[in-house]
Parts: sequence; C-alpha cells; structure tokens
Amino acid sequence: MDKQRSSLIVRDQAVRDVARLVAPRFADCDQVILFGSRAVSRHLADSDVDLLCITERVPRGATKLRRRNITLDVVCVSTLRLQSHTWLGSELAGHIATYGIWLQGKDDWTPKVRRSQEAISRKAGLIESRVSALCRHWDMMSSLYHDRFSRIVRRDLQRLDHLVAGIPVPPSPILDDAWRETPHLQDRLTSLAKPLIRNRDAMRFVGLCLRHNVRA
Amino acid sequence: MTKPKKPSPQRAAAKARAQELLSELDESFVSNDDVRAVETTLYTIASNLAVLVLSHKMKVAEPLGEILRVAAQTVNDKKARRRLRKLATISDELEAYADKSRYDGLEDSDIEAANELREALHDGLDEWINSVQV
Repeated sequence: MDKQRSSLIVRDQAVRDVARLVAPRFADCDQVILFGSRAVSRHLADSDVDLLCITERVPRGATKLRRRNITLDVVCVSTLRLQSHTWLGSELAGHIATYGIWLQGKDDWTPKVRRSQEAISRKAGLIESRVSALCRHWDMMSSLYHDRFSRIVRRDLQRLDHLVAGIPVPPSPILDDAWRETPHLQDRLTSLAKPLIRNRDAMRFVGLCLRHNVRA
Repeated sequence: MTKPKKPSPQRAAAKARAQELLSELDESFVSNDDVRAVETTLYTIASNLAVLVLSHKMKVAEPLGEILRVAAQTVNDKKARRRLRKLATISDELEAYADKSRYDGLEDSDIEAANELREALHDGLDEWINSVQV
C-alpha cells in the first residue's frame, strides 16, 4: 500500500503541488495525509485541500488556512488519540485508510481501523442537529442556500448509509456520481433518511427538499 | 457607509431577517453542539446579506466571510472597508471552529475562543447592518 501511495505522490502533479505547499508548515508533524477529493484527483480548481496531521501536540486555533488562493482544511489528531478506539472507529479514519495519500511519515495505524457503532451514532446525531437548525432557518434562506444545504444533508445521509453498511465513506465527488446514477431520487432520499425516521425534523427536512423540488 | 441603493421591500425584509438572526449570535456557546449549530446561522445571515447588499449577484451560496469581503468592495469609506474585511476574517475563523467540532470534540479553550469570535462578529455585524440603508 505504501509503495502504491508513494508512486501516486510522484505521478500526480496536483498532489506534488500540495505537498510542496504544506511542507514548511507541517514539518514537525509525524504524518501528513491528504484526503478528500484531491486524494482521488476529483477536485475542482477551488476545492479545499483536506489534510490530516498526526502530531504530538495538537495546536490551538483555526483549522482552515489560506495559502496562495487555496484553502487548507486541516484536521489535527494527537499521536495519543490516534491509537484510541474512538479515532480508529471514526468515519474519517475509515475514509483515510482507503483513500488517504501520505505526504509525510508512514502509515502505522490504518490496519487497526474498524467499523464502530459510535461513529454511526455520532453521524446520525450530526445530521439530526443540522436538520433541526435547517428546519428553523429554511424559510429565511434563498434557493441557492437551499441547494447547498440539501446537498450537504444528502451527502451526509449517504455517508451514514456507508457507515451502517461498514463501507469506507468515499470523497464527495464519488458520492455525487452515485447520486446522479440513482433512478428514483425521491424514494432514495426517503430511504436514506430511514435511520432517522423517529426524528421529526429529519423527515420534515426530506419533505422540504421534495416540496421545494431541490435536486439535492 | 455603504453606497445607497434603490429602496426595496425585498432588501428591507432581508435586513429585518439578518437583524433577527443576530440574536442567535448573542447567545454564548456552552457546548460543542452550540458551536456546530452556528454554521447554519452564519449561512442564513449570509443568504440575507446577499440580498441586502449584493442584490443576489451570486452564482453559488457563499459563506458569510466571502459575502462580507464582496460587500467591503461596495463601501467607499476606507475605515469601514477595513472593518468589514476584519469581520470577514472573524467569520471565517468562527466557521472553522464549527467545522472542527464536526470531527472532534472542542476543548474548553476552543469554545472560549469561539465565544470571543462570536461576540466580536455579533457586535460588528449589528453596527454595520443597522447602518445599511434600505
């Protein structure tokens, strides 16, 4: 796996550019891993650069950094937390184990990644709190923002579906491809929201998306 | 402070909604969930400010920081322009904390820092939105 990842670093110009960009800032990190759309070369010109940094001490402060018109979205995990059950069962750990590209350091933890009920509950909770807030704000937003948040919630429902099935969550463009290929979008959205069926806001949100004819 | 535009009921309604939403930024964050929930408040304010000062001239749903940066370009006064850019940075930083809360629990020091940003953003937006003529 390491060999495959190293060859990706050499071959992919976009990844090489990212590595050069972040190297000085993250020199002290044990591992720096590229994930998300750029790790699978499915990014747009203005896509964020998603990075996971494994470090002894997690720095305080902002997790988004702008460098030469590119936004670096950095998640820091301490070396101590890296070995915890919570991290190893998390959605992000599962994603990185499959799609991550090591820009610095060596992968010494992904074989321990496993499916976790905690991650599923956490994801469901995140969706529930977001749709509750959206239901409150929906009528105060323009249709552009309806589109944005419908897409965000739809992707999160797809991610929850992957977690429940024990499948690593792919980057957003791959989720979007799968969505575009779905024949009956309304039925699929309702079925994705099924784990949250007891949450009135979640079901109301699905109804809002359908009523506003948002193609999430 | 902002260049006057033609009076419009749509913009007046957007201003009223933005002011109403500011009351949500007036409440202290106590938990990780509070910080996470601020994301939709920031975007809903952005949606209304887009109508208020940019008259919908957007192709994508920009975050509040970006709306404030574009709004700064419509302002003549240098000091006011600087203040709006500063508010944009504060908004970006607050959104970054909301983002961070998705992956990992925020520590007390993070919540404290997010509260400082929230207060500064609330006060700055309150002053500026009140000054925008509809």
